[in-house]
Amino acid sequence: MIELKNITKIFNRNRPDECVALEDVSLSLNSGNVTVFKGPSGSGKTTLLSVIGAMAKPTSGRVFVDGREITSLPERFLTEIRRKTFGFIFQQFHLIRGISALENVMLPALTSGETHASLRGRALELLDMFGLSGKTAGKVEWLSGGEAQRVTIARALMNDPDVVIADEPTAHLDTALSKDFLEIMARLNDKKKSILIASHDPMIYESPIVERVFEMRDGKILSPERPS
Amino acid sequence: MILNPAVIALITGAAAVTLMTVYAAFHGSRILAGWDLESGSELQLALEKKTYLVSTLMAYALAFQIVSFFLFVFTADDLNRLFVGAMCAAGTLNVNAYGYPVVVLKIVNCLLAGVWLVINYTDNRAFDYPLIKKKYALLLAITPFVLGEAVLQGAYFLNLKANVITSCCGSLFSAGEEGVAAGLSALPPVPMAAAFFGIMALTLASGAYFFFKGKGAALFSFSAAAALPVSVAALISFISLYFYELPTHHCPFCVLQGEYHYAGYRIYVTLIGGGIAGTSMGALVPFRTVPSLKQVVPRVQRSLAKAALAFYSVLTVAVVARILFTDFVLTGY
Repeated sequence: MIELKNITKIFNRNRPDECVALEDVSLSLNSGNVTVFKGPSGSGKTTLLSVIGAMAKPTSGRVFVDGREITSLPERFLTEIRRKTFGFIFQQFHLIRGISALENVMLPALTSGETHASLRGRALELLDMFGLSGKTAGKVEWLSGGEAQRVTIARALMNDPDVVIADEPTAHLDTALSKDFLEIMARLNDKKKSILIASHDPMIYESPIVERVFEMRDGKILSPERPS
Repeated sequence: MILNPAVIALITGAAAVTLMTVYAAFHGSRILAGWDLESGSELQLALEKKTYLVSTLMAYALAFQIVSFFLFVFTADDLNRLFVGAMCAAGTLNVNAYGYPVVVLKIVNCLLAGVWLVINYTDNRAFDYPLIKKKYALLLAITPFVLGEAVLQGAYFLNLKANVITSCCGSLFSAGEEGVAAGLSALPPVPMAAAFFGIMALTLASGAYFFFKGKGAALFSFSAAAALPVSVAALISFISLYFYELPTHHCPFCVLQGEYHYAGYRIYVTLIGGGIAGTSMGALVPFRTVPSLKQVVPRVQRSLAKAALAFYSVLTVAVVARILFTDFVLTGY
């Protein structure tokens, strides 16, 4: 379970370009749910996911993951939580160019101490699961948009996280690929993974796999929460 | 003032360390007043973020503080050729009234800095900042010492006048003179040798016992801390005699010179290192029961015990080797 208490995030505090990205956001998210945060650009969706996923610290407020408060944790402990608890699917993919799809997928687990052979085996399994068996050795810049996104999803799952966080995952995908993405998310949800998605794509927030939708605007969760 | 690269480095370093320490003390006072881990307030989160920066800055500043002791004695030794009457650092330090107080303060600050660095390291190993208030309270206590050292050191270097005729170590550390240095020189060699080897035996034995059994931390720490002043007294009283092979030369600084293969640096590094490791180990004793440190403190204490044992073993072996392999024999003293 993820719980947010009075989260506020202000960028460039006390400067002329100060920006309140999140304002006093409180919510509880049950484990194993597919949750979507929808709203226009600049509504605070990405910032909210970054704060939940321990990628950014809030200006005030606390985040609890399975009862453990994570916002106060020193960086050395946050690294472990990011690695073990959360898997990130970024809007821009953030795959590392110049290395293969297989190597990109293996990357998040390289510091785990697991043997290279074991890591390679798991990464190949994941790529196979997403129909990318024939693309493992190819460099990521040779992949199409849909393939690159599936590599990103495989990478997010490499450490077998409890929570998968996806930021605007269909922004660069056509309808068919967006459907593929939702199918993958449905399969992950069947495995009891919590899925948090930020999107303003109706295909996503109107999808039947989505259990909760939070509408955001100007850094706030609009109430009442609207079920899908 | 004498414009020497080492003097400029020491003054600049002291100014930087003082500035960082004062800034950290200001941050520490805010932590002492407002730290509340249960709160998600903006102030609390800002303090949490800033403490990474401040503790990292202080780790470097206080590490320099320890190194600066050696740079200071090296500089004092190096400058002796500029002063009539000085033969080593002892004479240079005697050029004005600030020299010896700076040395004493630097040794005290070495120990305080070492203890703070160890507490900071231990605190950073836990997820819930268990020692944060204590480490900043200690930092607030250290700040006047750091400030005092910078002021005294500045006063010392600014008042180094080349026309001053100073005393040489032969007269300063002479059993027949008056003062602390002379008093230490007059300490009888045989009882001081017994005190030195006794405290070393106790330190090494209690350290080994702690290392292997995990018990007796307080005794080991006390013994390791006491070994520092006893060893300094022993160095002046009898160890120096074996290095100089003269029954009347008690200077603790000539041994820093190339003529004696810079043996003084080995002695001071092991002494300061052993003192810091032993004292810090004892400083961690009260924190063994802190829940988030239950795994951490024993591990850090074992490392410190290992370091203290290594430093004091090297010191003892160096002293014993010198006594055994020199032709000088203390007969009739």
